[in-house]
Amino acid sequence: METSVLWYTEGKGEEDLQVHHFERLGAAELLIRQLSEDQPFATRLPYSPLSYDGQLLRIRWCVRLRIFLAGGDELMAQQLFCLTAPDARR
Amino acid sequence: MRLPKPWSKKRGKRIAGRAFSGTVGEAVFFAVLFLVGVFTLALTVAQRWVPVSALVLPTGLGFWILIVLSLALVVTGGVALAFGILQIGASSERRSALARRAGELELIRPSLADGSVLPTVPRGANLTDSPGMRLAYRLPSTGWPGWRLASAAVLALMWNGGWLVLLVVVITGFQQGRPRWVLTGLLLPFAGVGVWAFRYFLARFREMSGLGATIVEISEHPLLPGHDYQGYVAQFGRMHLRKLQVELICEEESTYRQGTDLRVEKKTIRCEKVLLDRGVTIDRQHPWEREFALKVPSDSMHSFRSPHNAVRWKVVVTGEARPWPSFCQSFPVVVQPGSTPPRRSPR
Amino acid sequence: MPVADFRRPANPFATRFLIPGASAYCRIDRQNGTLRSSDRDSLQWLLGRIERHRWGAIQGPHGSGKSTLLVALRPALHDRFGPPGTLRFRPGQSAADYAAAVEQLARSPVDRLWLIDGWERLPRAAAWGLRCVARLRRLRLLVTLHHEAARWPVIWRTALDPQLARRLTWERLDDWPRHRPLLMASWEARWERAAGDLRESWFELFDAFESLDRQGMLSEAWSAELPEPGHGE
Repeated sequence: METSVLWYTEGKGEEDLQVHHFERLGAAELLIRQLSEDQPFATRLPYSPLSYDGQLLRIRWCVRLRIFLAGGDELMAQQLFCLTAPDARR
Repeated sequence: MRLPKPWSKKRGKRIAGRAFSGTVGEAVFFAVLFLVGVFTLALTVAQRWVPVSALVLPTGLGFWILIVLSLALVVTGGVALAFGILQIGASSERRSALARRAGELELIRPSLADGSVLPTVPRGANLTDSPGMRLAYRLPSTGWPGWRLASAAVLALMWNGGWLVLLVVVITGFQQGRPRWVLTGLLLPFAGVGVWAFRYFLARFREMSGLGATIVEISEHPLLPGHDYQGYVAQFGRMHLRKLQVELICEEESTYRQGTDLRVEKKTIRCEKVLLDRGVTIDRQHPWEREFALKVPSDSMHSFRSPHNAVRWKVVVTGEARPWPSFCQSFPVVVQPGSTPPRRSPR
Repeated sequence: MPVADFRRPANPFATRFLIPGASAYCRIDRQNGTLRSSDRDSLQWLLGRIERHRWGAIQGPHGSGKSTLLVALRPALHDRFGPPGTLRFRPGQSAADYAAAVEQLARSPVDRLWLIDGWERLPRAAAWGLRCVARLRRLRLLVTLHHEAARWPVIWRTALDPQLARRLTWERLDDWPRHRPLLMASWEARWERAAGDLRESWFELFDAFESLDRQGMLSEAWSAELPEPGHGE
C-alpha cells in the first residue's frame, strides 16, 4: 500500500508532477496493521506551489492511495485538497 | 565652426564627440570595410583561377597576403558591425548577463531541487545581483529591440557582397575578351537594389541608435502579493514617443507536444497598468525618468516553474512612436507565495 | 488570495486525458480496417501478425491513435512475448538520450520485444545504431511511423474517420451532457481545420471549454459552498 501527497499540473501543457510525501507499507507491515481502523499519517506541506486555477494551467494537490492486490490488480483512489496561503479568502 | 565627427572617442567611461553621429559613422565605416574585403577577395580569387592571358596571379606570398588581408577586412568589418548592432538598446546589465551565460538566456532558474524552501518558485538570483542607482535592485531585461536592424544589416551586406562578386565576374569576362552581357545588364538593377538595401539599413540604424537603454529599478525583490513597492524607470536615447507605459504582467506558459512539434503557448492572465505618459520627448541630455508605485494584487498566483508549465511575472516597458520604431522591453520579476517564510535581510 | 476551487472539474481535453493510454483504443471493424483492443479475435489476429514479422510498424497520421494502440496492446504483448521494453522518442531530445537508448537495447535480453514510439524522430545515426544492436541481439521491434518506410512492414494502419473522431469526442464530454451540444456544434469545422488530427481538434476544444467556463456557463455543474479557510477538519 502506498500513500503519497503530491501536486500535478493539468491543462494544455504536458503534465508535471512532484511527490511531496511518500509512504510504502509492505505485506509484512500490512499484516500487523489493523487496516479497518483509521491509518493516520502526517506531513509538513511546503510553502509552494499553491493550488491554482488558471487558463492554460491548473495546479492540483492531492493525497493518493494505491493498493496492490495479491493477484496483481491495483486500486487507486485520490482526494484533492487546496494548498493556500494563510491569508486566502474565498 | 566644429564639424560633427563621424566617430566617437571613448575616454575611460566618458564618450567624447556626438554619440549618435559617431555610432552611425562607425557603422558605415565597418560596413564599407566588410564590402571592400569581399570585393578584394573575389577579385583576388578570380584573378588567380580565371586565367586571363598575362594577368594570372601566381600563388606566391603576395597572393596569400591579399587573401589574408581581404579575409581580415571581411571578419573585422562584419564582427565590428554585428557588435555595434548588439549594443543598440542593451543596458550594461543585459550585456553582463549575456557575457556570463552560454546558451539560451534564462534569467530565472527553476527551483525544483529538494530542500528548497519554495519548491517550483524560481530563485531569480540573477535578477538581484545588480544594485540600482536609485533603488535597491536594477532588473535585467530579456527583450532586445534590434532584430529588425540585424535583418536589414544582413540583407544589405549579403546583397552588396554578392553584387561585388558579380562585378568581379563581369570585369573578368571583359578581361578575357568574353564579355558577359546578360550579367553586365543585370549589374545596374542589382546595384539599385543594393543601394536601397544599404540606405534602408542606415535608416534603421539611425532610428535604432536613437533607442537607448531602458532601465528599471525596484525597491525590493522578490515580490509578495498584496505588498507595495517603489519602482523607477528610465528611458535613454533620442526619440519622440506618442505613448510610453509601464505594466506589470502575469503570463501562463504551457509546453505540449503536437505530432513532431513541441509547441509553447502563452497567455497573459493579468495586466496591471502602472504608469502611462503621453507625448514624451527624449534626448541624449534629457532621458525620461519616472518613479512609480508597484503593487502586486493580493489575489495573485506566485511565480511558478516546472518542466512543461510556468507562471511568469514581468515588468514591461512599451514605447509607441512614429517614425521611430515602437519598442517593448521585458524585465522579469519573481513573486513569491504570500505565506513565504521570513527572509534574511540582504544587507 | 481566493481559494483555488479543487472541486472544479478538470477540462476533459486537458493533456493528461489525451496521453496515449488515457482512452481505450477504439474499434471500427477489422474488415473495414480497424480494431478494438477488447475484441479478442482481432487482437489474436494482430498478435499473430506481430509474431510473424520480427520487425514491424504501426503506421498512421498524426493523432490517429498509434501510441494509444501501442499502450492498449501492451498487456497482450506481455502475455505473448514476455515483458516488452519501451522507448519513446520526443522532439528536443539530445544525442545523450539516443546513446542511452542504444545502450538499453544492447543490454536487453536476447529475443525481447521492444515497443518504440516515434521512430521517425531518430536521427539517422541513432536509427542505424538501434537497428544494428537489435539485429545483433535478435530483438523484436514494434515501432510507430507516420509514413511507410523500407524495412518496416506495416502491421497495422491506424486511421480516424470523422464519425469515429466525433464519437470519441462525444464520449469525452459524457460528464457534460447539458453543454455537450454547444461544444460539439462546430465539430465539423474544427475537424476540417485540424486536417484529421484528433489531438489538434481536442486542443481547440480545450480552449473552447475554458472560454465557456470563464463566462460562467459551466459553473452550475460544480459550484458549491466551500468551508471557510481554517474552519475545516
